[in-house]
Amino acid sequence: MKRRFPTTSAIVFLLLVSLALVFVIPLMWTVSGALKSAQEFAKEPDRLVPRHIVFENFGKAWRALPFAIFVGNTVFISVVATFGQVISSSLVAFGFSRFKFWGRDALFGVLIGTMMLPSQVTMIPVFLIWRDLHAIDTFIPLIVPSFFGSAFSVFLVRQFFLGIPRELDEAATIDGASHLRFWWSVLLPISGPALATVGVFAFFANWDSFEGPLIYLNSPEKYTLSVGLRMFQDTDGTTAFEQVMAASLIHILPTIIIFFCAQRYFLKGIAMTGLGGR
Amino acid sequence: MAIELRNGLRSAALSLAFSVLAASCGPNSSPGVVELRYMAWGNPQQLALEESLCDQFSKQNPGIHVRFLRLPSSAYQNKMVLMLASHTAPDVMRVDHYNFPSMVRKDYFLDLDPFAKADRDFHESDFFPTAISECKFHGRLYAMNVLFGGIILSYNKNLLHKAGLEDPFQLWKRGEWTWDKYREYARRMTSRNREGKYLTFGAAIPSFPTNLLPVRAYGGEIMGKDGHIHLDSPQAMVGWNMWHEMETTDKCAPTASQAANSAYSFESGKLGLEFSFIGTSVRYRQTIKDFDWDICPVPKGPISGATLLKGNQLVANAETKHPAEAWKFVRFMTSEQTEWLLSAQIRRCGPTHKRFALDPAYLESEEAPYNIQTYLDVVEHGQTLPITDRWAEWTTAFNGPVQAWLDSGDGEGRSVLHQGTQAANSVLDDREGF
Amino acid sequence: MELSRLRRWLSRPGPWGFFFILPWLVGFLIFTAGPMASSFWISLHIYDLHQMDYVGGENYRRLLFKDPIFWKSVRVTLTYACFSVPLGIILSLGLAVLLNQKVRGQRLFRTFFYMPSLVPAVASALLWSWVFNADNGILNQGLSVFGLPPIKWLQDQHWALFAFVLMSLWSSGGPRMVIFLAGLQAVPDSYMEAAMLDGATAWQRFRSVTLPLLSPVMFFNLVMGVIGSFQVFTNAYVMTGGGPNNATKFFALYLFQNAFEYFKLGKGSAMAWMLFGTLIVITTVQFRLAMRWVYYEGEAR
Repeated sequence: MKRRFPTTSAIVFLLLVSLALVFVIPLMWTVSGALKSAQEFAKEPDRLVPRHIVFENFGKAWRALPFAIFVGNTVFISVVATFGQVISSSLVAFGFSRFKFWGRDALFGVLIGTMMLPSQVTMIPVFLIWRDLHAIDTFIPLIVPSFFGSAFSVFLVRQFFLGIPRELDEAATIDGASHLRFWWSVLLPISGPALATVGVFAFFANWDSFEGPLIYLNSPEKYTLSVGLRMFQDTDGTTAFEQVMAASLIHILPTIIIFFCAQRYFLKGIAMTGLGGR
Repeated sequence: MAIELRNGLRSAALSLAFSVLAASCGPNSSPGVVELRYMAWGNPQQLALEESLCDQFSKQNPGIHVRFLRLPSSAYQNKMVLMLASHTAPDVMRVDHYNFPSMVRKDYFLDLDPFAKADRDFHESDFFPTAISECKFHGRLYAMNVLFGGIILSYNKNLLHKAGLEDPFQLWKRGEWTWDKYREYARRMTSRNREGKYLTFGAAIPSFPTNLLPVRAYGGEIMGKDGHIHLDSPQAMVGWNMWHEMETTDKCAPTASQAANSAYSFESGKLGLEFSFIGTSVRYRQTIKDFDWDICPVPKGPISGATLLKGNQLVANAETKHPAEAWKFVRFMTSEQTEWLLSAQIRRCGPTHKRFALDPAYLESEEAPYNIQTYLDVVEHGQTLPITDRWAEWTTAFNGPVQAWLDSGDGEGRSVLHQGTQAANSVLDDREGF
Repeated sequence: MELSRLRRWLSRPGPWGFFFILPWLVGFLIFTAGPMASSFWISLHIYDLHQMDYVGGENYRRLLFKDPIFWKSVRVTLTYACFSVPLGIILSLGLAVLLNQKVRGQRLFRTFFYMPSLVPAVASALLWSWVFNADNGILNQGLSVFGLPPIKWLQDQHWALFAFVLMSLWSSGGPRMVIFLAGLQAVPDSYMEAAMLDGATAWQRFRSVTLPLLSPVMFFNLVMGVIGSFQVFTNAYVMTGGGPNNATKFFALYLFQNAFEYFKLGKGSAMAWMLFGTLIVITTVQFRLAMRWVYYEGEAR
């Protein structure tokens, strides 16, 4: 590749810096709020730079609830559910993208359709099913559905699979590989970025998920971070906003770190895996 | 060989003993112990407090173990509905008083009347009538009031002195604390700097239903005997116009956008008078360090000086397998000793027990708020909102246009109120269920 | 004989495709199909979790002809979708293209753009009330730099919905950008090099190489964007409750209020089915149109 004009990359850089500011400044207020004392927050909630930086809110928030247990539960649920979602979605997407079978397009339509039904209306019937399976107050209703593939992930992986040229399949078929082996040893390795994307999305979705843990879990020792976080917000008592912010930061910090580290894998580029060089 | 075997046996026996021990420590497996599930919402401090109460109860009653299900307040209703619909609801629940009337009608709650009659220590006359009446349905007791209270007025004493105003609590004691005075106070406690930026505001426009206070004080009626809303009557308009004028002509209360993000919150010291519930004192005690404050009853108008009540109900599930234990627990959570902790020590709520009114120790306070008599005014004279089972729906319909008018002056007062009232009445006229 | 027939059957792609989608199909039949059917059944009743009365299509009829709030919520939702989806796609595509260059601090930038989507609803509600504060909020301060008058974002019924559009750009910009980025990285360098050898300008390369190859992901973002914009709930529930004067009464919010606050499960279910039907139509149209502009390299036809 030829070297670009330095001005172009300078412009790109400047543009990125200003956009990044727009994206990050609102968050800075959360950070600053968490660093203010309760008195200072009450007095000047809108001041961006705290007059006195204190760290007591993190300690207070952490001690107010058994957060260490919540973190453990959240990690466990998120990891297992993400694993299930990646495996099942890639299988299902493989079926939808690489095979022609009777009713395929109609079924795919149904799959997309399931995303459109607001979850609130199926909430009660689905809850009744789990109740009858004696799965209330366990992690099962939060984990098992992931192994059936989520429509969002299936759709996303399918779009990626459709972008992968058919010649690969033909080469593999000539080599005599079975479908399952093709999926496992050819398709999965080259769709690393897509699967990592799905995995990261699934992980974050589970990490943030509030409705499911709220309705299916009863024991405080099984609660997740997002349920704990909501407890800081009290609609009829009083809300300690500075603690809400500290707890929110505790909630999002792991996800930011994960994103920062994981992007290397899911944005590495397909060139590395041998497709680009063709 | 033999020694090894014996050691093996011994360790096996030991571990068996341990596992039996461990199992018997679990709440479920100990025979004869009833597990009672109790569900409530609140912030972490409130929940920690209730958990210690549950533990205390379990300790006092060896035959009962209370399992406390705690929830964030914003999602409580959602989860409770789901649990009731799926018959998985806990034995005892706390219910918001906005939801109690619609839910008690659906037979979700246990009729506590037989238990109350059989309980020799329970006398309705021990309680303030307002605390009991909110819990009755068709004349029968279905709940006990907890976190009982109502609307009070907090005031910033420093701003008061600066403006050279007399303490409103003293005015109230002489029967002179009126809405006219309130408005005058609000005007005089508002101040601006040379550039015209507001340093302090005298008052804050409260939201619904607190903003109904002057509407009722001037003779406005919320719901008539015909079951219709009358919030656009000429009497009601006096109250509505007061809020609007305080914001637009007096400019002694921040507009909604000025007040957004609690820029002029009471805690910031930039607000003179604030209507709030009794429970806010808990936080104010922690956050307000550099000015003096206190509380007093709400102002009175020509027709009424009554404040509005707001409590929560403690109910037992109609399907509970342990009704007697549930009643025992409800009694414990609403007992004098529990209420002493909540109402006298941390000032989280008002009292339901009449005896407190006569107890000097109750009325004494070592830190703000000092005017504890305000609580007694609330529980003695406060009135219940006409909460029927369509409350949530009609108030939402009503508040759409009305709040927009109060917040940003959209529309003309009379017609806006008329529009809101009509919207509310068309909700109430509609066949139930649609 | 039998074995060879089985083998022949298995050598056809059909059964295999079916086999692979089986996990989803099973999950769908258990956890979606049944509940959907029951919600349809409920939509033909008035049901307050206590009594259930059959009313036929009355819930639907009343929504369509007698409920002004219903139509308001439809307008709110459509307006929101018309702004937030295209703007969101343009913004996130722009971010992805910028970040696909070799820039210093690439990983940090990506993280910055992604961060907003990680903020939980409770915190973001607080945060936005600060951003949109009419008096001294950061947004109005920014406007005043350009000499523009302050706007009462969340209190003004004409602006509140637009405030939600801005929020959606902020919070969904990152995830969409990641999807675009992943798509961009799948564009083989060889294609680009070939185009450069042909003397194509940067814009031409983008138009005729990048965009077509990106169209599957673009399509994904479009479909998901539309579905997502029809289901806005949490932010409206936490921040405005639908106000001011129903200006942010999103369809999903009104549905939730009916079902869980007013105990009108029949009406709520009817709304869900109407939403479902509408989205099916819109998505089918999108898929039909997609045949004209989405380019798949490897589809089984």
